[in-house]
Amino acid sequence: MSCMRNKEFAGKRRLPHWLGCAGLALMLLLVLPAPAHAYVGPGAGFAVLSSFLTLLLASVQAFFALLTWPVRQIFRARRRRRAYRRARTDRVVILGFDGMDPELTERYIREGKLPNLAKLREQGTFRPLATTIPPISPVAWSSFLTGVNPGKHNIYDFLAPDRQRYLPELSSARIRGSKRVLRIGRYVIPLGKPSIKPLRRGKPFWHYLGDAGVFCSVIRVPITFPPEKFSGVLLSGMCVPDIQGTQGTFSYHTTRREDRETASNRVVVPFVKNGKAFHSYIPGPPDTLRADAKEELRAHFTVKPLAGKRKAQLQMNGKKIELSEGEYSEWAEVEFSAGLGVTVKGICRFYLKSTQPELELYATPVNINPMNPALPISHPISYSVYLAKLQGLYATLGLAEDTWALNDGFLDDKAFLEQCYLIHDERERMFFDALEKTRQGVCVCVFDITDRVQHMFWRYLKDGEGSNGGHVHSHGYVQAASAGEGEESELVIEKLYQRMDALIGRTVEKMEKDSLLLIVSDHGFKSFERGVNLNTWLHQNGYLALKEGAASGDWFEDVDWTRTRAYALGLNGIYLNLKGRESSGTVEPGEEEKSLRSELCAKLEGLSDPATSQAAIRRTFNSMQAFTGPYRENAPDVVIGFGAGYRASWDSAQGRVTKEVFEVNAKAWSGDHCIDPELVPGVLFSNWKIGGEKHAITDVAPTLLDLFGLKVPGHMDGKVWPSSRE
Amino acid sequence: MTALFSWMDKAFDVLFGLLRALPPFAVLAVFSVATAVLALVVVRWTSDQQAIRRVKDRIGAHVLEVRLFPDQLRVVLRAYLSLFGHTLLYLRYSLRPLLFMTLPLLLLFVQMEGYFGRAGAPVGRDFLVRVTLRQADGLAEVSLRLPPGLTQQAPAVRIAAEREVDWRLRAERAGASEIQLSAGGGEASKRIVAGEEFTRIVAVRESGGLWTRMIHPGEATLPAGGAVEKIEIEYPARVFSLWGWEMDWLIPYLAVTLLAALLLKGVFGTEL
Repeated sequence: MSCMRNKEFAGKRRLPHWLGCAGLALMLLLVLPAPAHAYVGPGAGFAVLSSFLTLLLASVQAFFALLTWPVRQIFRARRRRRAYRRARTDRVVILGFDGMDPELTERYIREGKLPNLAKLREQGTFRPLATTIPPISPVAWSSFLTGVNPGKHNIYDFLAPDRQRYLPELSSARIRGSKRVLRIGRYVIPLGKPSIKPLRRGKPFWHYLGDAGVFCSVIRVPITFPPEKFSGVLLSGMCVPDIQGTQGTFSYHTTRREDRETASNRVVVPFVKNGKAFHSYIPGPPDTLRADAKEELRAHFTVKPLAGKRKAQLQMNGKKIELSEGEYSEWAEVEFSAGLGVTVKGICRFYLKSTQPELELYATPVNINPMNPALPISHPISYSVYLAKLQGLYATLGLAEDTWALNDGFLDDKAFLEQCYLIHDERERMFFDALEKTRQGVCVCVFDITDRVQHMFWRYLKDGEGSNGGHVHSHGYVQAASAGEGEESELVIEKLYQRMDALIGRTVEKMEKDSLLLIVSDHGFKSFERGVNLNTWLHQNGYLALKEGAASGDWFEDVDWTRTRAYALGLNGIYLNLKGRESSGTVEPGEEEKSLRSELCAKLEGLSDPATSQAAIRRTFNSMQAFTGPYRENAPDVVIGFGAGYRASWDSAQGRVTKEVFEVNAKAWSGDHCIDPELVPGVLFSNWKIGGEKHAITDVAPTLLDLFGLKVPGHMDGKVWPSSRE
Repeated sequence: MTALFSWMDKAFDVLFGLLRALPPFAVLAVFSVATAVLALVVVRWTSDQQAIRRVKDRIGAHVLEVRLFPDQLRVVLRAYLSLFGHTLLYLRYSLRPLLFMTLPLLLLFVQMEGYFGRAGAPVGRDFLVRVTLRQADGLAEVSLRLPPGLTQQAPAVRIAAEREVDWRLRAERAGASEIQLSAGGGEASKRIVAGEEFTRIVAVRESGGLWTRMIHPGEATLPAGGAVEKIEIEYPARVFSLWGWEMDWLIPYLAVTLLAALLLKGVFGTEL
């Protein structure tokens, strides 16, 4: 009653009704006599006990930490002192901008659009940074972190050929299921963990620094999956697979079709109408637990369009997500139930493309859940959990920005760009946290957005802006897509560079004056207007043979290996069909091998495109001359340095022989860098003056070791940059 | 309100009657799970679940921070501070469901205390009946009438300073019976339970208002104007034994409730 009366007279500023009554009850409980006190404990149990336990544990931990702190600090201080005694700086921050182009940067600086980079150039250093042969991100970043040429780190492309099956496999890691299994009826139960074998060789610079007591925070540097143990923290980047084990397979759900379509990078799943809702599923990993499984694991969901609102409600795992057209969801947890109580968990975002006239929904590739990773994606494992707890779920897939979805028309420019920036925001938060946590040591973070956006939006740069030296041709996609696009699209890359510039500004603000800031990119960019099908050229010139009467398919389907001497796989590589190495090798090792390599180099160098009369291939690299080191044997025998405007065609990269050697690139993927490395150097900016000449990405690792007073290992190919604060 | 309390008494008597066949520990477990379910539902609907999830994540993050960056003293100290701050924040977010749960749980606990808190008077052994009068003047006139099966073992002890008369009784057989008191020209009675039977045991009957009625359920309060203020039976505490460890009912109750809540939180989609 009293509560009711209170409510009647309550003014707007009064406590809520429930709070008043409950507060009164609690007060009575606390004030009134003995028997009531006994009930406070369990009554508050849920809330208080867990808090109490947390506080207790934290206090105990803090107590012991403080108690043992002096001893530990003495040991650590001694180690640190030793580590930093000869160091020329206490902290180095490296911002990696994948694909930041020196010519574009220079131009935007000239136009006054990048004030922070302009300041760095003026007060410190700006140089082009020589990239690797070939200038591909996994190759260049591997050289960045190991300080060696590809012959010593064993990464030559995203893909490497499986010489026994003539099929591609991931170049950086090999994931295999457990070797031992227990078969019970229709179930196949693994008796061990899957094996994840790193294929990149060479020791990253942070291992040397960690051993010497210099702490390193490493965020999303490519080719760091699987994460290796060292004294520091690391979150793996490029080449982390999705939950299916691929490099990114998105799913698209539509009422437009009736049949499922599966491609290497996507699955299109038709919606099935069920009353007012539509049912679909996200395809997951293969069902390895059941011997008789005919389909992959699936996470089912329903979508209910909200009438007249251009919205839809998605329901999955008992959770509801409301989405408007053209809107991304937050990360949603996806569970694939494999039976026997085993579930595989991942995360994805949904994008509602349309509700009318057809319902169309895009789902990103299912990323490994950083909060509960199915595979290790960080060192220590708890680091990915820590980041997820601190800032929420985040993209973990190596190539998280879904370029294929835009390339194949499932996402439009705006949706793709929004996805990129959502991921970038996560990355920025991670980086600034790492920066704050690494007061002493090295903090390195690679941002991928620069690469992905330039790949997909280069087509909007005006003639000449792409710096192709006047070789700009009409781009199929530009003609098709730029009509009707406003100035916004033309400014996408410019705005991206400005965004990176602002990031640099904020980083500088958080750094001490004597700390070293390095901004590096692994390569630059050029337009990709025409594709060269190397396999077609090899076929037309008698090096690659197809089976009698057969047309070529993907991944060398119908190639007659017994009559084939060379084949092209990936973005820059030609491989000899070598006896003893390839399962159906035809080329004798030794003289024949050497002479064929030289012959291919000679014939392909300067290869002219009849449609433009320009050299589609500017240079070729003989692997025996281009690389040194124990893994040179694994290199492509010939590396192609395409001319500006050219690249390996899409079919060529996938091992398909087509009719024509040259073709127009009509995809949104319109900028590229898999060409002659001389044409696409990266950038090097620093707040310090860096001397010397011909700076290369392989120099970063030895320079860092030298900065911290460590001896540069003799096997490193890079040279130490002379540098000073002034 | 008194009617409500009487109704609750009856409802719990029926409920315990249904569970009578089970051992006390199992009955306690049933109530623990029921409490857990109640708590999960209340927390689910009355708390800001997202905020709780967020703050728990932050607590987890700061705990990990201490492990991940042990060399960075500033980071570690800030982590501890943040840990403390976020724990307080967690408590704040837990306050609202806690307040919602307080009253129902209080009502539940006093009922459970009646069943689980005390065992019946041991047969063949002495126990005390303690009567407190409103005025010390009438101590000499207080008399006690015992039903068959209960015997007085010693003369009454009168403590004027405490306004108290104590009797030492013994139960000859198990079962419930009622003792009658005469004091100041009035009568008062109190139910006494002897033996091991698992039933409601009310240790205290006293005069008072709603609060008194609430915390001593099972018997009506003594009349407000009567000479007797309080009748208390000194029952032994009911002890729950687990692997040789004897404990009060609150401990297993709390443990099973928390365990059940943790196990069932996924089913109810509740963030605790």
